[in-house]
Amino acid sequence: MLFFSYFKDLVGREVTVELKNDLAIRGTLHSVDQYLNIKLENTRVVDEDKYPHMRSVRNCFIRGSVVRYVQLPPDGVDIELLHDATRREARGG
Amino acid sequence: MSWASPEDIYLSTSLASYLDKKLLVLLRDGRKLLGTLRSFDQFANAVLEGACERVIVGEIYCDIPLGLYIIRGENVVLIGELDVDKEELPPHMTRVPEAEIRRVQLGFMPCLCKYYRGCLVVAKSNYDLVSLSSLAVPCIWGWGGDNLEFQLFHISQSSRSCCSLILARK
Repeated sequence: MLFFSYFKDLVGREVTVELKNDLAIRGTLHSVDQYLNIKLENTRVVDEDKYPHMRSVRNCFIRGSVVRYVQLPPDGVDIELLHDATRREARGG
Repeated sequence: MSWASPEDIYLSTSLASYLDKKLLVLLRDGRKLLGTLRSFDQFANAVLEGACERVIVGEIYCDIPLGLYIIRGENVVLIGELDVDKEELPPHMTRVPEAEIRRVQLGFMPCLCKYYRGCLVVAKSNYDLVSLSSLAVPCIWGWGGDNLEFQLFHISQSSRSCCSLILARK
């Protein structure tokens, strides 16, 4: 559940989600669930000319299984906190 | 399992906030379905009413009616809410009948077919197909006078407005 918790902390931040089909979508993280499904708001596709059908999509639900990367804001990671949480998780606590 | 209260729906990742709205569903095979979401579950299995497939080839498109569709969740890439105030497609895209889009889609001389200002421009088969077919489809544009006389240009994708090379001429 570590990454689920981690993504929950990022809600409201601007992220870019790159999918396995190479589509990259930038938007505000609205919510995330246990499968790491993601909902984005105020989305725009990074390469709009290539994906004209995405023009009028403003909010979207992305299935967790198709995500390749999530690009975070530069200050989106608190390394210390993540280290501690990782160790806690590894100990099973 | 309990039902979420109405206000929770808009805060959660559930698809409940998309119910009864017109959506775009992107599938893993690249298909684009449009329709109204009537039901869903935790796997993103979804029921679309009034579904149609939007086929886009270059600058032409067609919406092919499908009816009521149940989509198995594993095929879903993305479900997008369509902004009703914004045009769904860029203004330069032309809607064509289903037969037309199928013809282009099925590779009816794909590298020599292109819509230009609403007309399909097709090269005659006596062109040098070998050299033309080695180029990617988006690089080829053709236009010209009447049905039989026209030129083909090789235009780099980044600068469509400038013609860099004439490939064939009737």
